[in-house]
Amino acid sequence: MSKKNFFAFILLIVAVAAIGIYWSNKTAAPDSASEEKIAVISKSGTGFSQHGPVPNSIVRLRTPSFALSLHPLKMADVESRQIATLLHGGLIFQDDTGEVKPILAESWTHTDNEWRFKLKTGVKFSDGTPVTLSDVVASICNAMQPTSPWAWALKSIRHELTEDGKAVKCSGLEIDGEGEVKIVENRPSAALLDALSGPAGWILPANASEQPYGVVPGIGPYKVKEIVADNRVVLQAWTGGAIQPRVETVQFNYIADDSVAASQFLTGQLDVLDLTSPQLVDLVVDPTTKAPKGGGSLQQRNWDRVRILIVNKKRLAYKGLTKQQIRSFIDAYASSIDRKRIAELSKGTAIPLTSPYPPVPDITAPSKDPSALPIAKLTILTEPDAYSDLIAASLPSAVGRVTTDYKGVDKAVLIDSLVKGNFDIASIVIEATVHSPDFWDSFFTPGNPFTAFGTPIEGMQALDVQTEHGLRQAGNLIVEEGNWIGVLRERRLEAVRPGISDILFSASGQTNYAFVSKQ
Amino acid sequence: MMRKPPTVLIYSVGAILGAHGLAYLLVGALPQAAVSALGLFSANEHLLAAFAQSFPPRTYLDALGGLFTGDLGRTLDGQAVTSELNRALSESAPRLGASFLLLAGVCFMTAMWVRDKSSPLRGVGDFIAFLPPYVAPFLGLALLLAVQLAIGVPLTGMVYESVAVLSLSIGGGALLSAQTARITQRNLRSEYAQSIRAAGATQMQLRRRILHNLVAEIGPTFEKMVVGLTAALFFVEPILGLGGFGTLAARAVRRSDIDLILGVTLVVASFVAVTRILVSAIRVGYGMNE
Repeated sequence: MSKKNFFAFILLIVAVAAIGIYWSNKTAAPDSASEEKIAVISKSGTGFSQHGPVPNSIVRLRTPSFALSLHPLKMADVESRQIATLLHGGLIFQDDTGEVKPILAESWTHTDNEWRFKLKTGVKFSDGTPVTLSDVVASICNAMQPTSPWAWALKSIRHELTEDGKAVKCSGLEIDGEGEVKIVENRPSAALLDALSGPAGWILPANASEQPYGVVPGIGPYKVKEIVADNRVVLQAWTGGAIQPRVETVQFNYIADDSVAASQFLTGQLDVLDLTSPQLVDLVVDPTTKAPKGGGSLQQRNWDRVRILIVNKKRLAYKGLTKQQIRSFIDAYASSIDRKRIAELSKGTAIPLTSPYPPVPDITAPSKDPSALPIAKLTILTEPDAYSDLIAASLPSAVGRVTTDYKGVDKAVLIDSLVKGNFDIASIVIEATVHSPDFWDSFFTPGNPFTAFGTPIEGMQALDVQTEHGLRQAGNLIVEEGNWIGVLRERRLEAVRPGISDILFSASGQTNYAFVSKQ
Repeated sequence: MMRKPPTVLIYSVGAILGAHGLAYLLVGALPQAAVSALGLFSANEHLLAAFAQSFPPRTYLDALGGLFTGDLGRTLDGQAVTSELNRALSESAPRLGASFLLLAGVCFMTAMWVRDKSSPLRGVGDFIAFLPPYVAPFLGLALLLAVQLAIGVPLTGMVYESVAVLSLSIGGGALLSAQTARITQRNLRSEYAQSIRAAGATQMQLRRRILHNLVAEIGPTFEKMVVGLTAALFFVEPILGLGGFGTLAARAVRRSDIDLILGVTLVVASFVAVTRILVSAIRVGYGMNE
């Protein structure tokens, strides 16, 4: 090759690199070098509504999915919820210790089955419009409608179904003469405050128009500044809401791959990282100090996220098992799972779950003799990630003459199979409210939509799961007739870099970054 | 001179519409968009009805009509498909452009440098070209992460971009260089080359002469390379965590986002068709029958 051609090639490479540099700079995220902290706001003892200068700092977080739906009544995934908790708020917030903090409510009173909330004045939605009592009533009533995913959480509030069954009249919600919101329950529910703390209780403008990605104005401490698809969601401080922001910017970077996320955390590009799998724990946590490599701390919380096996009774019957044999298989399989070993594999991110009905933790499936089971081959559908794969591989491969193998499929395919009943056994993760019996009860109550994932059990409707006796009876019924096998209850483990504080958790263990601050 | 391109144009329009129609049929095999969007709540009939109201299903005729009116529908995120495609393409275009330049450079270098005897590097090129398109980005990512953790300093987006460009180009570059080497070696042994050499032409003059033949002959391979580049985007961008057309396509399939899938199909089919037309025009320009 001549010198001329050689230099021409070098020129080409330089041109390619120049294009890369230009483009990289064009799409780069905000520069961390420009961060400067100018003030520190301390948490108010009476809530989070103190106004003042917002520290000009940025907190970087990870979102492992870019299937965004930030509308409180359309959220289906935990990732969207994490982002939405910074945009929205409700009357109150109940943390994982059970302490209730005021958000929009200034004060409240509670007598028997009636709650009265007095609102703070001067609170505005992130579009600048003032919050009214009507907005509060309309928001909660919208969340009670059959088209809302949170209707089950608010079903203790007095309501009447319309004749066509497509709507409910919220008779338990009203504005009283003293300028308070009154909530009347049919029967007191222990989970109501938790429900009002989450998306079910978030306040939206009565006539909110929805923007792309489900963005609607909220009363949270941040508003959406920028959404770059498949890249990042940038939130900007909003001081007119019910919660005072502690940092100027919160940025969620879309990072699908665990090892990339771990690498970014360890090199300071992320401030907090959810360690949702043993692989991430291996990558981030120093085994001797039990702290993140390179500094920071680990935060661990109980979390209402459980891994269960759902057995498709109809499919097993189709494969020739009698009703008695199916029951026998479920019990024998449930008792042959070495949950302790699987929990050890989780490296601190899970504990054994021996109950098919999480609100009743001490019920274990009685061991049955599997020798009478016929020859059958069953497939366990599971999600394709490495952690789910590890768990599925650790499950028993045979019970009596029934053998099982497993297949990893995309989550949407898994849910689709569940809805259509096109599976033998499904291994799924449910993020819900373990301590809300109403939720679990709904999987086994005839006529409830969630029974697509459970099995209708007659007699469940007659039980009052809000009482200790009713809960125990429900647990017994599910152990005897249910199609669920508990495997693990996951624990939330978060690696937090130095200087980051005030990450809160809801009563159900969901992370709430609304109060996050950075020193 | 341009007798063939009109035929190619007709074929191309047919191919684009055919790909669009086929994608519409195949989308039916994916899980429902509502299931992807609503997860566990998709068992709620009321919620499903509300979802269907927000995202009314489009018939094939609607989708086909949209091609001519420029309305490609909306994504599950409520964004216009055309704006999503524009954004993603503008992100991927520099990557594709750089890869294309790299491929052209490799092709040119090989043509000017390869000896007229068989080279062992040709076998290496064949082997690399045989590897699946996800191998290079995975290896590149592993290397990046290892370096990042070893030095303890975050690597910038530019480094990721460079790895993306290399990952996109490496398979195609290997195949292209192997093909270029074969054609050039054959041309160097041809009577035409020998007579030019005998007439006293320098090595550089000879190579320039046979470069014209190469351009015409390598056309079909280059066409496949361009298609291969687009296909490699579907692996490289999601693996390296970069936004762009490949990541958009992966998201569209994972979420069963029908309008977006149809839009992605349309872009890919159009891209293939335009490449085909250009290559066809070049070959006709060189007097070669298609």
